[in-house]
Amino acid sequence: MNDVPLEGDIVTPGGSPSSEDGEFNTLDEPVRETIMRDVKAVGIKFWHVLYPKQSTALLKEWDLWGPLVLCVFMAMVLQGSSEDQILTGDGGPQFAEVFVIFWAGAVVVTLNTKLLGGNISFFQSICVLGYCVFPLTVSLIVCRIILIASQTTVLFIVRFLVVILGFAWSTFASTAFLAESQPPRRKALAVYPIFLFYFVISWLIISHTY
Amino acid sequence: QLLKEDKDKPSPSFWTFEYYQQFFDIETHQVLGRILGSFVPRPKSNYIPDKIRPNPDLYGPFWVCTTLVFTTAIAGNLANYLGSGGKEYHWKYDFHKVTLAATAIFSYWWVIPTLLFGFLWWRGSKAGYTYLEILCVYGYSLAIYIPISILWVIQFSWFQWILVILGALLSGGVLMITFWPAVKDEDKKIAWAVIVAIFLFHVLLAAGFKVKIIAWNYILKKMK
Repeated sequence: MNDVPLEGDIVTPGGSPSSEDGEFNTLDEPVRETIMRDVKAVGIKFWHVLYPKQSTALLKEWDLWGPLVLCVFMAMVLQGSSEDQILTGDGGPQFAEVFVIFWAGAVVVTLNTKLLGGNISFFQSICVLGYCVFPLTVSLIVCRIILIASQTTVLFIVRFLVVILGFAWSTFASTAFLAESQPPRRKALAVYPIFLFYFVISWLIISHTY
Repeated sequence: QLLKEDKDKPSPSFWTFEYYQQFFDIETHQVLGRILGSFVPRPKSNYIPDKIRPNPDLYGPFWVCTTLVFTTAIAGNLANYLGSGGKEYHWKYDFHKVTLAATAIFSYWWVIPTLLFGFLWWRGSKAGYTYLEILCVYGYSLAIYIPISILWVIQFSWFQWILVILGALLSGGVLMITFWPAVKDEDKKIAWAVIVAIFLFHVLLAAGFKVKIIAWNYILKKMK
């Protein structure tokens, strides 16, 4: 029972992004209702990430909308502007680079868990990893706001602490969700890549200056 | 259990997931033990029979290399930032360093073992090291460079060079001790040539990092 079965309940059918062209009785309902249901499901997951307790919402009813939104948002904010490139000769990560780091990183970490014998489906793991980037996205927004003021060392330390907090929260949240699916005696081996993944993203955030 | 003593036993097909799982059949304490053993040269014991058999893994080497890629790139960025005097510099995450570091590290991890295995197989070495075991040893041998790359942030060139030599001696030492049994039956000159080559490539990798990735602040100073 690794993949989410398509069930007959009204909550988000697992894994299908466009439920409008759907089975069951979604064909008769207004499109707004269908969309709002998905939006609510995504919102509930974000909430669960902020207050991580054992919840099945992220695992059993996985979706990839949330991670996609977070990834696009972060990539847009983090991309270097083209004038900087001309001035310094090399720039910050481009949109595509952030995008690739995010998804390739999530895939590699998931593959690692599966290869170690973890007992979770591929997309469930990607879903959890993607959603748990949310605290780091919040850190990014806060940093961006701080960057509007002219920079001093104190502000740098504040940004640094904000990012560390986001990083710790993300890592803690994702290990809370993925904990029992990890194989025994290999938990540290499975957690380390998650730590590295969020560390790299944190590095992208902290090194983003303007 | 997925213990594979030698490759002649029937094993899962190359195209199945289980085939790759056998390379990750490892536990936390084993990984830690292998990392520790990779930079503590012990002339009396040999790394491969003691630590790697019976289950060589690819988890350790892969994640050691990946971590090293990121620590080296980050240390390189920090070196740029500190070397250019801090506040006015638009501190950007230099992506080119990541790709450069990744190429160098992963090539080293794969190419040298392939050459070494080819050579040993061609000469009919009696130590019987499999390709996977050599890959495994080489991957773990890069572990010492992770703390070294973090220490490279300290901006004293002589200190950075001392670290290069220290790291190369420690893990190169383990490599040399490991491969000596494989070539000791050869003609003395060839045996020594191989051992010295193993050590040299190891030194070159570390020196390459120092020169290409960490030392960019010299170029920046010139640009000003």
